[in-house]
Amino acid sequence: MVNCNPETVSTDYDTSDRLYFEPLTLDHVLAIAERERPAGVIVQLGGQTPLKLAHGLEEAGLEIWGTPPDAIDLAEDRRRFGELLAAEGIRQPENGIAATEEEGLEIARRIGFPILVRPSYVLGGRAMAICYDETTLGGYLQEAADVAAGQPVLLDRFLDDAIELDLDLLADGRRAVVAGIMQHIEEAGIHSGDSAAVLPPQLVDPGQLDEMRDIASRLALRLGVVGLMNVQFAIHAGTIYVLEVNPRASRTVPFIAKAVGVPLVKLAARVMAGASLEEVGLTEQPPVPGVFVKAPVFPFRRLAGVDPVLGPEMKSTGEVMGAADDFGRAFAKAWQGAGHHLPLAGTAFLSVNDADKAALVAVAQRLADLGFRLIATDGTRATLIAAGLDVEAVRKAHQERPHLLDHLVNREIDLVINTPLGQSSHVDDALIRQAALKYDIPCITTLSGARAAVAGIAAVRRHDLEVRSLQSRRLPLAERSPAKAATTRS
Amino acid sequence: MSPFLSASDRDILTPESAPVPRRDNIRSILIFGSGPIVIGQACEFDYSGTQACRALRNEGYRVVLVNSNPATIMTDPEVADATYVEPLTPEIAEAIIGQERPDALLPTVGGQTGINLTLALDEAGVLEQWGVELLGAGIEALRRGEDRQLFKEAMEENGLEVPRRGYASGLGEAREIAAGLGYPLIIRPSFTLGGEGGGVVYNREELEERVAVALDASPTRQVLLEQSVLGWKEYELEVMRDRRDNAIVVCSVENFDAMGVHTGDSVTVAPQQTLSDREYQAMRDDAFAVIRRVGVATGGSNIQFAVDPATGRRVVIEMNPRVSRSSALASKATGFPIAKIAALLAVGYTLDEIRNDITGKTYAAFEPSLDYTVVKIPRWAFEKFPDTPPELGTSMKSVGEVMAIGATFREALMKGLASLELDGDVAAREARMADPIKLRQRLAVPNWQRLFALFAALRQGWSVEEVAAASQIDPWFLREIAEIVAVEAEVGCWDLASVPELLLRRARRSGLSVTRLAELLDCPDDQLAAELKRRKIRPVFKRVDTRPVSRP
Repeated sequence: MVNCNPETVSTDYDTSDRLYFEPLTLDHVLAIAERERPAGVIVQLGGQTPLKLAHGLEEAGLEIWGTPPDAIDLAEDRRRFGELLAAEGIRQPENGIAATEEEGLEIARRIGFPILVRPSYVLGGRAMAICYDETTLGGYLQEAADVAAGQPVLLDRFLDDAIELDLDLLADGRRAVVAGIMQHIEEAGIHSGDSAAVLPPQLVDPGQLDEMRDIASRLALRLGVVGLMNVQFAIHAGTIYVLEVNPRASRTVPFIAKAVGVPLVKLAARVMAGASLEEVGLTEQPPVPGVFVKAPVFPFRRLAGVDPVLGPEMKSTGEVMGAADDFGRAFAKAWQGAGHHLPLAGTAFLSVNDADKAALVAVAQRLADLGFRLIATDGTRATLIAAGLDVEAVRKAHQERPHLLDHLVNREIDLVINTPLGQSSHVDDALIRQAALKYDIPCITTLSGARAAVAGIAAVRRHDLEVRSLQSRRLPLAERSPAKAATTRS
Repeated sequence: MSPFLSASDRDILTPESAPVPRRDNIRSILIFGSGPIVIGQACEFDYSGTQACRALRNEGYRVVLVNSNPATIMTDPEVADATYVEPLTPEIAEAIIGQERPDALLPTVGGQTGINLTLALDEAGVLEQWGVELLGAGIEALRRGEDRQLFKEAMEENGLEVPRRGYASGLGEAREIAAGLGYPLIIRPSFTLGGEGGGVVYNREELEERVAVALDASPTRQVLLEQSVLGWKEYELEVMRDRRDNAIVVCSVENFDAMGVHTGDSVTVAPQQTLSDREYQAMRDDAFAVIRRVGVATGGSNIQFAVDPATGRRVVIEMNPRVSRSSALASKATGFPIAKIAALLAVGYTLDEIRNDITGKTYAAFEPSLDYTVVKIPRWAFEKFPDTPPELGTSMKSVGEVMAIGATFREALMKGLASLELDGDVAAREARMADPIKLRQRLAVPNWQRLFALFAALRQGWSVEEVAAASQIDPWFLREIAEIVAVEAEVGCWDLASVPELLLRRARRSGLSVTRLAELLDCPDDQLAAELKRRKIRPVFKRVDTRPVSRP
């Protein structure tokens, strides 16, 4: 085991036979390899960091176990990967690679705005952005050259209002079995690590889930994946797109493993050592015993002056799981686990961008039904009143006082639903979010998040608290009958 | 003879025949994890909690675990008998206690989250109602560790000095206390993680601002105002104590950055580097007195000291009556598994009965000793949050850390820097800090890139004394960095064909990587690697084996 992080279980002395606290750089790892002469090297369990070493290690004559480095390259290389998808008839958002600002703008004109831009080989979505026009894109392209000099920039058509999903699978080179599919609760455009997510997917057409399983399995076999693979999908206007393929253990693997009760990484290690999926006992997708919601945890409170708004760059430091028999309660638990309190009554402040206004009506109605008092600024209020809701007016932060911020400071508001404007976040909005953060008032910045929170509030008010251990929730693998597994597939 | 015997002072050569002292009147034990990874609590508590679960399960206890974070090893269903991935709130914990009826609770391996939850359950009467016994540290010890006023009183009874301090629950009280203490002052909100909401204030205006923020951050709306010992050297001792009052120091850790920077944001070094043996022994004696007085019956504690570099005067800053962030580092640095041993001590074992897993021969009562140097460097994420000021203070900002082991401090430091995975290498980082006009400020005000500014200043010809005066970092550390800078300058005068072998060896001992050396010699990496091989200059790997070189 080579790792330089002293906080981990992986660097505990009884985890490995030989443990090296060394930098994960090629020269240090090669020096260790020279001394240890390992039969193989596993690079797919350490995130992005060891993947970057795979080629150098292979060139030095070491054997990479599991997915071969060329397949890793193929998945990372936009051009080669695009060709592969095209050959397989799989859709991805229109895209291009630019080495210069001119090239970038030209590609943008071809595929149309909004556009998601990022440097190649990213870690945690560093320096990723959504651009809505040529001016912001031009500025971004210049900046990207500073952060990752010499690295080309990737441009993708950004799919507004898409549903995103994460699929993890295990493959042995001959067959692939899906371990689980998680649906993001936040809309597309929020980094997958920062989006709340739910397993199994809610309200996604089973046919579409089957199609995703089929696409992912075909890709795994085509790439020659041996071990774990993660695919990110988007469903946009009824069509399935592949956003990204990571031929390694992804952030979602521990979550899925705990939820379905299958030790995925252990099985993957055995597969990399040469066992088949049949031999390790994973031949079909494991059933999901309940509903499991993942909620991210952010460091905003500790970092003064930060606007707590989500975007394509990952900002969370950790995550929690909420488990229950239905979505609302699972969401409520995840929300509480992440350190927020869920207001069960009181005053809700609503202020959303134009695109979200129509969809807000149902959320507001639900809050009103639950007995919440609603307040809103002019635009949002007009929409809700037109829909027949009773909404009080509140002044914006730049209007005369007492205004919204005063009410937040006085803690006269219990829940904030504030979605940023599409293009750039309004100063007013940032002030609202910062005040909510400071005074620990739950603040939800996406409409889908608001929908989920309202479901959570309703569920908590309806049900008693229920706790269950993971062990009591799942059935041992051997006791599951195939018929039962089939009916509860996610 | 001191009443605080180190076990290694005693006869420890008869454990085989000793009766098994395990507690048999408890069957099931509840353990709290520390929840999601946040700034101030990362996966070190996964490591300690996992060890505790495994050790107790191994002893035949039924382990009930609660942790809301699924991205942990401890929530692997094989680690505990019943694993609750549920929110760490008093209501949920109470429901779990009602359902599982554990006999005991080990509150000390789940970080501040575990302690706060335990205190909340005690206050609500839940522990008493269900007859749940606390293992390791009792409620009184937990409170004394948390309540700095109680702590101060306890310390002073033992003749130990602590910084002058007072608690305030409002602005008026804070003003009064501040008037008595004088500025600058440290503000610390009670019961927060990693010093959240705290800071240093230099005047009345800052006091009013800071106290308001700190009161909001504290769940008990209480803040501590403390006389500042800014610029003093900071040390941490990891101490273990068993039910027979044997006590050992597992590891001493010295902070590279002076007092004023949160330990979690400081580069730290183990073992301590700049104390004389006499000074260190006196600190060790104080540490035993602290753990005994606070009343941690069994288990580990982390005790922080500040030492005035001018006079050698020593004060106790605080103690954590639990496994801490530093315990993980100390465990990895020494090979002494603190959390595992703490769990075993909690169920009745003594230090001289627990065998050392690595050596297989010695017992946990031996104080580890190190013939290598371990350096920890924090990893921040400031580049992701350009709007937040890059300064460091008493509120922790880092999101993770790396550890490196070297034959020298220099080598460990350079390996640590290589491990950080920063955008751009060390030289590029340094270049960004090098502006001579801003350099003094960058040395004087702790910030996340100060380490690079130190390199830049020394490279620009600042003397060690000048840098020490500006940064308040001990000259010993700065001389080490100056040596790295000097070696780099010397290597830069040669090319691969002509570079003397001794210089290459010296450079490697100072931790210069193949990549950095190749850059200085202006040759490709692989050519240099081949040359190093030809000259048989191989990297040295240090083995962590806990074995003491000598007995005290």
